[in-house]
Amino acid sequence: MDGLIRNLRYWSRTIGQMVLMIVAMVFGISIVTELEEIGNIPLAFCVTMSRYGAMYMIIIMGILGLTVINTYMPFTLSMGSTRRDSFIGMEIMLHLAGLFTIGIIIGAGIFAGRQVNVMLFVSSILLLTASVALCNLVGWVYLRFGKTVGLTLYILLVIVGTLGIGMLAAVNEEGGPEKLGMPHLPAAGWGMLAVAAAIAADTILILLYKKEVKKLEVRV
Amino acid sequence: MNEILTQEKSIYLQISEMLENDILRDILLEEERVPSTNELAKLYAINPATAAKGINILVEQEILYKKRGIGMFVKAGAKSKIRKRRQSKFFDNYVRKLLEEAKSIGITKEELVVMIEESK
Amino acid sequence: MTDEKLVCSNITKTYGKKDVLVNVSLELEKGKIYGLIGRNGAGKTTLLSILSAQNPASAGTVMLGEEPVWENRKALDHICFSREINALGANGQGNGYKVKDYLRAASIYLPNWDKEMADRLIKEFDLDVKKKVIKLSKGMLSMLTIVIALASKADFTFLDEPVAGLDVVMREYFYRTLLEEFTESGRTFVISTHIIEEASDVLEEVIMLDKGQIILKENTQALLERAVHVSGKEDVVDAATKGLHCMHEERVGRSKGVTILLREGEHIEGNAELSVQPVNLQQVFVALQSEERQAG
Repeated sequence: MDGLIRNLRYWSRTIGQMVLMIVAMVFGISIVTELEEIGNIPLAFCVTMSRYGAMYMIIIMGILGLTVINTYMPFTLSMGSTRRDSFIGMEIMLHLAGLFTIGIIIGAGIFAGRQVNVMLFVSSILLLTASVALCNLVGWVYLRFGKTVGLTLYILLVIVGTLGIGMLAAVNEEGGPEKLGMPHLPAAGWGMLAVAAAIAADTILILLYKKEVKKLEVRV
Repeated sequence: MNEILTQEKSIYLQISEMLENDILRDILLEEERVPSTNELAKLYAINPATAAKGINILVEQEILYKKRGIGMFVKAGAKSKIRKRRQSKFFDNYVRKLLEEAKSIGITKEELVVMIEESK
Repeated sequence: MTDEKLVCSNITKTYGKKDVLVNVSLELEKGKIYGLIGRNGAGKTTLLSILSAQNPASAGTVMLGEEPVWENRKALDHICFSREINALGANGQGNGYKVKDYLRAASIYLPNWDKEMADRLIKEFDLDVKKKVIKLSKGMLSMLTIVIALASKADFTFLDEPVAGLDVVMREYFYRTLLEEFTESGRTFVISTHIIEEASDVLEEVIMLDKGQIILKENTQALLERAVHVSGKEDVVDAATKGLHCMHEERVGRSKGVTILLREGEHIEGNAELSVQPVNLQQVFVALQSEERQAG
């Protein structure tokens, strides 16, 4: 337990910084894009956060996936942590960070006047597991298939992500109200399926990832 | 105690010789405390185990003795013991070399004796 | 403070087709300063990595007393491998880590971390804790590695080329600080180094690694006592050194000089014809290397 706690203390600061980065980024963007229209900063922030927060979160999680495995993991190992403790600590903090960010997104949405309903809960889980799954995917690919493949995936994600935000922004210019900026799920049944798939993906990736991390080497 | 270590011979031998020199020069008096292994190690930047080896030689030769809980002390009669030992080693340590060198450059024993008698 | 020995048995490490370590077995005792000496690429860093479970061995085990070291926090709590911090790379600096971030991580992960000692050393080394690690000079990186190693208060502490980049005054300071900490705590230190001669006074035992194998493990003073350099006229030298383990020889005209490692019971004395001189650790190492090269 001791080893795990050390890792939670350590990762919490590093991942916490990432979450703040998302918030800061959105804040910056909201100032630029929405302020004109809306006129007051908190509302602008909340509107942007609730509309695009999910998208940003996914991208940042993808990016985080690389930093975490490339620098943080070897670093903790060089400080004497076991792979198991480091890995579990990292996964716990990633999920917590995801939850925390989603909390901010929902809070912002409520402030901006969106509705709350059951689909919200469902789409939150989807977003959380999907983003962490993405994060783990990047890390796993990086370890399993080598650095070049991993980096390529990472760069693709950044490109796709940026395009995605662009498209989402374009769509929203026309669009009507959507459910708190969360992925719009057509029907409960499909929604549940998507969530189940995301949770499964997250779990599978965690297991695969763990296997690779077991062999992780610290290189100078 | 402030001599520098050289490469000429084993460090622990140098340590024990240095302590002997200090005893001969009255820098360390009989029944006085001698620096500990750790103090010597720090002073000369050497491993304490090496310093300990040097001290142990002197303990074996009954030049130093240990007072439990306090440290190493110079034993009574150490000075004369050191002198006697060095006297008996004098031939091996100095004279033999002298004779060899003299032989290799062609100085005879008689010439050596003259040199010694005429020296101050 | 553990009384156990850190033992590795038949460690082999292969990267791809290359054998970096071959059948390495070592016993490290408590309360000694060991020197790990070898050329670049001999496998020193790899060995230290494996002993501290930072990297897995391809074969063989590492045990601390009864406990295996791999993925075992109980054992790892007694070990600290303060790696060479590389400003370019894989150890966390690429993301703007500052010195104080390193220190914070150390205080979290190293159970016996001595903050007072760390602060004192940082002051002595004149390290700016707010500085980013990528901006540090090689010397300052070495100093940070040293601070972490010493303040870790780990029973088995490994340092990989700790004096790389340090000027001569700082190197002397390092040896003295190391000795002070050693005499006070009796921790075991394993120091890998290139700068052999300077360190030799401080090392109680020396382990020589060449091409992934241990070619020698011996008490430093004992080793130096059996290493001699014999020189004189060629035929005289040959007669005197017949049957002895000659590591390296040089000839100029009619004169010949050989560096010899005496085996137990062997003895050689100088005279007018034959010079017999002591040899220092660095010279022993280089002579052994040249012997390996010739055999090899």
